[in-house]
Amino acid sequence: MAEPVRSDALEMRQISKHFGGQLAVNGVDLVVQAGEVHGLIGQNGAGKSTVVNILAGRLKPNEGEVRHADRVLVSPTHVEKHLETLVTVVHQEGSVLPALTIGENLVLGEDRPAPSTVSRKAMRSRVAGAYEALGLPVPDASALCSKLPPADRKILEIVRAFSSGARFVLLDEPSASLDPRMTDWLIAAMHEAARVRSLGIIFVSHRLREVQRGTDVVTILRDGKVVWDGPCDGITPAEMVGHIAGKEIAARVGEASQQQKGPHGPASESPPALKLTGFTCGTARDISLKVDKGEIVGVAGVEGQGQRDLFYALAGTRRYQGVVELEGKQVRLRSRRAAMQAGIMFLPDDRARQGVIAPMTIGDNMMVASIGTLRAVPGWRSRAREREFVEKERQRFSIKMAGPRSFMRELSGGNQQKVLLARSLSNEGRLVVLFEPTQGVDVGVKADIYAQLSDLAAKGLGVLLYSSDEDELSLVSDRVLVLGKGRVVAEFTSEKISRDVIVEAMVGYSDVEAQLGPEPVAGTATA
Amino acid sequence: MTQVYRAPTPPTVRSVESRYRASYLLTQPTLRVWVLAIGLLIFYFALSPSSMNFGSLNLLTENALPLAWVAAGQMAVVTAAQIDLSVGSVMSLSTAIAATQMGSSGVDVFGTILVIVLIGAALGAVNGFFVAYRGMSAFIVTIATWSIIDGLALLVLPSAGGAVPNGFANVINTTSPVSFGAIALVVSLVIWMWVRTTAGFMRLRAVGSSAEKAHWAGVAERRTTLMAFMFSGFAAACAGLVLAGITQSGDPNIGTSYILNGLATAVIGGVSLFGGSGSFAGVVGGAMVLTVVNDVVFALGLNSYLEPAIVGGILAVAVLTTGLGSQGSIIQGVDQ
Amino acid sequence: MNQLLDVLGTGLDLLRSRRFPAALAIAGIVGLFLAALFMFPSFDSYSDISELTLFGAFVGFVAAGETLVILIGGVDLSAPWVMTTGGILVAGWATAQHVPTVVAIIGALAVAGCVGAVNGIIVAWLGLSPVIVTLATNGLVEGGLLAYERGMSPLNVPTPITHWVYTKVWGLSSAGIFWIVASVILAILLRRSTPGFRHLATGGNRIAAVLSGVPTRLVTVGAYCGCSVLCALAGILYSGFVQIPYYGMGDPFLFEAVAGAVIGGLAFTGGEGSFVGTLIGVLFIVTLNQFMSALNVSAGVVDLIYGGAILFALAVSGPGSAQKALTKRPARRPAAKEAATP
Repeated sequence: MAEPVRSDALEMRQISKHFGGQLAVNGVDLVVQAGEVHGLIGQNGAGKSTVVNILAGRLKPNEGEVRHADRVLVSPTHVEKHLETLVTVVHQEGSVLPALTIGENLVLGEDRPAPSTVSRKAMRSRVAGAYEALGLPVPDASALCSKLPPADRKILEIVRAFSSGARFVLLDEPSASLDPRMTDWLIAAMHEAARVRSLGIIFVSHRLREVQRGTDVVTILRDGKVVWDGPCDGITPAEMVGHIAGKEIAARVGEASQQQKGPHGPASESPPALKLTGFTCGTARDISLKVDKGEIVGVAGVEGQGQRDLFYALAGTRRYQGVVELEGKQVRLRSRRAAMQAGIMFLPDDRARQGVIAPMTIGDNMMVASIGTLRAVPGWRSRAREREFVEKERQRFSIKMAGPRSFMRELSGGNQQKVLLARSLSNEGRLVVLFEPTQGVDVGVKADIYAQLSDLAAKGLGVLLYSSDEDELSLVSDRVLVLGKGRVVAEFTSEKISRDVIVEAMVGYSDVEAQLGPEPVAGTATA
Repeated sequence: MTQVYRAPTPPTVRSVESRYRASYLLTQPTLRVWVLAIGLLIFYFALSPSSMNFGSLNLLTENALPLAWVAAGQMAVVTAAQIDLSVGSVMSLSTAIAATQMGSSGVDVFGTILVIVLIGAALGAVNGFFVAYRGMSAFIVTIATWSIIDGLALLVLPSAGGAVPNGFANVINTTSPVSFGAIALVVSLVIWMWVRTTAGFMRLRAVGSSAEKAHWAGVAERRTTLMAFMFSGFAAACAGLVLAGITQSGDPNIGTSYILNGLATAVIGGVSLFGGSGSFAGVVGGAMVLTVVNDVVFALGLNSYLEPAIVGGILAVAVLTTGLGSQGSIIQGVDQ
Repeated sequence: MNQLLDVLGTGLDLLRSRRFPAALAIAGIVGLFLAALFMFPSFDSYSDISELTLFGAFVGFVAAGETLVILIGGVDLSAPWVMTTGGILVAGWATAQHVPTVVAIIGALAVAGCVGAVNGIIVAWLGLSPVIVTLATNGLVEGGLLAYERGMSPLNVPTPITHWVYTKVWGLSSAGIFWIVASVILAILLRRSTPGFRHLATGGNRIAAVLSGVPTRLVTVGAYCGCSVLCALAGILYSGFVQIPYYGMGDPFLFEAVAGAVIGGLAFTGGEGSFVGTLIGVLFIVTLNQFMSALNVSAGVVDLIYGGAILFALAVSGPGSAQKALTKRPARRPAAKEAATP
């Protein structure tokens, strides 16, 4: 620890927590001084969320305690009442209530004697005060949050946290829904709050460059333990990766990245796997793009730029206008089945809501898309073929599971994703469309998935993926398209791709705003 | 880092639209249902000019009252993203108790009224307990309590009959100069204008929007859900009392049709089956719509069997045109 | 050996989800039987079993239909009047209009199928809540039937049906055996056939099923259609029992069917449940019925006990897989904040 611990610091001492037999967090020490911005990084499964939940008072540790100014806030037997007046948390999954207005979300949870009235004027002034204090333009306090794009909702949560009067603010992956300019604002706001108001800020992120720019001190978690802790200037991003992932995995990712830039270039004679002309759907406007056979094309863009409309329309679940050609033949994607018959395979992002079929076993989950083929007699399932299929897929994707008859909830996020990927790829096709394929998945599984994508491209399929992780895009794709306000605003080929280049384009899209005219009509506010 | 941060892109919320522009107003469910109600009323008067007088308006509000009240209870529960199928049997039970237990003295009347609404609230609390504190599906719990309360009603009053004291009946049945129904509706609307500004109603909407997020925002979501069910039972009991007054008797089966009609009224009145939004003013409008439809069917000499079909049609139109093309099923709650 | 394991596996699969409530139900049935033996000296267990299976058939077909629909996360509240329609149409056509019995039966089932198809189409394509749609259909079918049959009387059930309903095979009711066999067949179809798998997938997570190419809308229409047909079948059988069908005869069966399904372990979230579980649950309900009528219990008390049984079964089942899959909710909730602005 560089500085001596001040008396008003927030301290986690020797925190351990296990779930079932699994140790999630093991002897973690973390000290956040007042007036510092403290970064917390680590891959999924490293124990970050557990640490966050313990600091938030949602979980009691099995050992250790959280202290502040000689008071024990959290211990195995006790959680301080009104903890959130001291430590406020902006959670990753978002806590804005869509049916309520901005003003209502801001004041919700404040102590009131019931049933007192909530006057519009009071809400308006609170909203104005809170936003202005952070240098933001003031929105309409009676706007319904269901109509706000995700970035604005996240900003609302951040504003709420900073205006709540708490001494420590914990931000868990806030930049996932923010575009680069807003992330700049956030970083600046964090620093200002730390310097001027002496708040202690904990910034959890998996984006190393943000952590570098935005924090003073960094703690790195791996496998539930602290593997590095110290000032930000004292470590390079490369070293951070080494600590986060451990040496072997860093090497595997390095290998995988060599493979990506390998020989599979597009075969220029045959018609492209996918060609879109004048494609319009929801927020996506007049998009023209192509994916050659054997090519991996990545799409970048902050949430809400039309990528969800584009991808889900390609999956066949949204109506669109424009021309879609697969290997030179025009097709009409009227439904998911039509898209599947045309050869489009699809992997959605939201595992829980759109992927995992909870009451069914792991084996059953794998088979859903191809159940029609696993039969001896039409209409009758064949156990033998099903067994074969499941085993084959298990090996192909190296899925760690107890057995095909156990349930999905027993699997880690990464393995669940592998099961869903196996499902999506089980009906052979020519184009693979993936929406955030490595969300919530640890680095080891990410590497596996990248390898799978590379395989698919090598086999001659076209791959189109969207990811909010620009590092991933630059690692995996042969070409990257950037979406801004529903249109393709930039395109990069593999030599020029690097994360910074992509981000610049994304930042630059707001210049495009002036050229393209007024905002697209919000049919789908949550893209 | 002491850089001055650049003003970022402003949040993309439309500046407050002129709230008086026609296109905006027409999207407001409450306004639309009232436009529909008034339109139907005019249609009705056109069909039967002899009814164009205050007397029939009084009768209309009188008949709409029990429906509006039971639908108000449904609205509270649906706003919390739940459903209550036991309201009909609570109404039946209320009429049964009223028709058998209500003595004629003033004290007796008020005493019985108090007991009935307390029973309604208590039964609602049972529903609320199982749904909020035991995590059971509201649908199946309220089907079970529907059966239980029906049983209670049958035990109290095995078949339609009984009698309600005259004093009570007369008050409820006043139709001139203004009907009891109209007065009661106006009073409830006034109370509503206050309720919608309370923090409690905001918490109800929060819970309906997302119980989990409301929980983490500090809302006592289980207690809020419990109170919603208690209110539903209370409202159904009040509606039952009015019915008892109107029919001047009790009937253990009278409430069954109010389950669908109550839900329909709420939905037509703009309450979203997803939870999180709803207005009692819209509910009253919906009650008026259904009641006028009843009269229109009669006036047109149509077979009364067509009434469910017409209600169903209006319901479908209401649900579809609110832009919530797939309102989602109450049971599933899954949506694309 | 592998095949033996497969058969055992199928057997276990049949009862797989929610084993506990079904086991409790079996215990309940046995318990009630023992109690009856003890309490009623004239209790002749053998003939009563035959009666139980007979009554079970009436409730059971409705329950099987509801199981079909509840498995995909819906419900069919039009069962009462579709059931009544089945019985009345057959009686009306066969007796008053001298249509051959078999044709009348097929016709009635076809009508029911159309009603179910309408339910399914509206739910699947318009996305309206099944509660509202099927409640409305119930009313419409009532209206339609009353309007259609206004002129027809007397209504007598054709003799072949009555005759068959009262037949016994090896001392057991033939209708009862029909129901049990049908339930087992449905159970096997659900777990081992491709359409059955798609049915379960649709119920387990509709969006995931859509994205995997399952024709969920067809599955939905099929489910509601099948449910209505089964309800009409129940109505035809029941009319054979009462010999003179009456309007509203289907009304009590919805509760009993849903109660039986829940007691047998069916989850309302969809994707979990078994036809065999429903079978057991219905047997329990019917046994309970017999018991209560032997005790001469009034209609009100019957309703009370039903509701109580459903609640009990629900409380015992615990949360379904869907709920278990969600993240665990930690115990403490934050107290409301004190005055906020610094």
